[in-house]
Amino acid sequence: MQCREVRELADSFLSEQLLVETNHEVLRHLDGCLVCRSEMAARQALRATIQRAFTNAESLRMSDEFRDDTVSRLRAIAFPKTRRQFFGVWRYVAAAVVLASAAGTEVFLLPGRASAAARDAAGDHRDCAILSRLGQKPISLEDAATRDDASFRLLQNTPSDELTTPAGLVRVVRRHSCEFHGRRFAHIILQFQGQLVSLLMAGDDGQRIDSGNGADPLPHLAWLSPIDGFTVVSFKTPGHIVFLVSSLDKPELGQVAPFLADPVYRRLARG
Amino acid sequence: MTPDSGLHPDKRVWAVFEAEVLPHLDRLFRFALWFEGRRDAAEDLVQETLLQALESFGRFKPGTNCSAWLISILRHVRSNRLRALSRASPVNDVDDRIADTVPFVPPLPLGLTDEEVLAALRRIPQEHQEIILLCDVEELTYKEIAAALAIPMGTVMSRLHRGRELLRSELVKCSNGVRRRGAER
Repeated sequence: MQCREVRELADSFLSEQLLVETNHEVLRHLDGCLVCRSEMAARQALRATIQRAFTNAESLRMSDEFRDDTVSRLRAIAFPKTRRQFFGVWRYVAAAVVLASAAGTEVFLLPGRASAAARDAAGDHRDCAILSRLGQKPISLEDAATRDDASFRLLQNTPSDELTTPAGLVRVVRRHSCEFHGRRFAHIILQFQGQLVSLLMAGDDGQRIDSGNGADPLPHLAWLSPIDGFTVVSFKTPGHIVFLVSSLDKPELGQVAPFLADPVYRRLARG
Repeated sequence: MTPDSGLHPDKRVWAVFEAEVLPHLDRLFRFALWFEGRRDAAEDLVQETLLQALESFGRFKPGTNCSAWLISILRHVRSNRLRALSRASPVNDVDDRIADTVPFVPPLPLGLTDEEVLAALRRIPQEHQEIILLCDVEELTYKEIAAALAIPMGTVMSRLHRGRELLRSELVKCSNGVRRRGAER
């Protein structure tokens, strides 16, 4: 084998792509040719440098937040059927409990029918928080507050970026305002136990947007029927309705819902 | 896929996906960021790629090269996006024949830093960068590269050969620049 041929085959040799016999011929040539041996060593060193430089380049490193966010989203998509099956059973159990109670018992146990706003909130959680597939790009809470609803501004810092609860840490991933089916939400995306939770606030259709009189000191959480496989709970403030939507089970979401609802409710009541 | 006994089907799929695909997340991101140039665009691209990978995970054969499979999805997603934005750059004419003669090849310079090597890599055409990265960093075979890029294996080999020539020229220029700066001091 001549030097010229060895140089033509050098890349394939280094990538271990040659047939065994050809490989042996190259090796036999290199054994006796210092020039080709040096050239091959230099190419090998360059290959190793490219690999090392690319793999270690700090500027190409993925952030931990992005990794966590991505895994949460993928997990939420991988498990929707499981949630639907679980809540299918839960709904019948809850209904049975209500029917067994005496008449006049307040129906807090029976999951409420989903309103249009609740369905939009679930859709927004799916298309914005999980899939990032909204038709329109989200805007900042500040811009939305200027354009649409001044109350959105109040959610720029509420709830706080990290919230320690007895069940674990809840961390804010993103805050913005987005639109789903023509309904504008203030949207806070949180992470809890590896899953995404959306806090979505919209104007309450039919209510005046002002501070109400005689508002309760604590929010009243209303658990809805699962929508699209998601657990949904809502509460009202004067002029607004707020939803928490997640792939978490109801018991899991129930562990953090009060800790998210309470500061938001109180902030909005203060104005 | 080998089922895990006692696990719900969704959890079995996730367990295999987590084991096979997620270890490649970092490398996939680096590849995406290298070509997109912007972190937000790379994040979008990687997430879309992984969503499609999850949706089509039934078509992946465990034991085959998962990295190659993910890269072919990523390229597919990226080219669809570029087409939609009408930003597809014209493909440069690539000589598909290996050179009949071997021109004079200057020796590879020594002592260049990682940053200088990456900077030189950035200066060669993107289709050559891609082949070099898939070969040297991802260590895909020619056949896997051909499948990932949807090009013939002969084109892989010729682009790799040409890409290395171009990279070598850039490295020599860089090295000459370093030597000149050293002499001026």
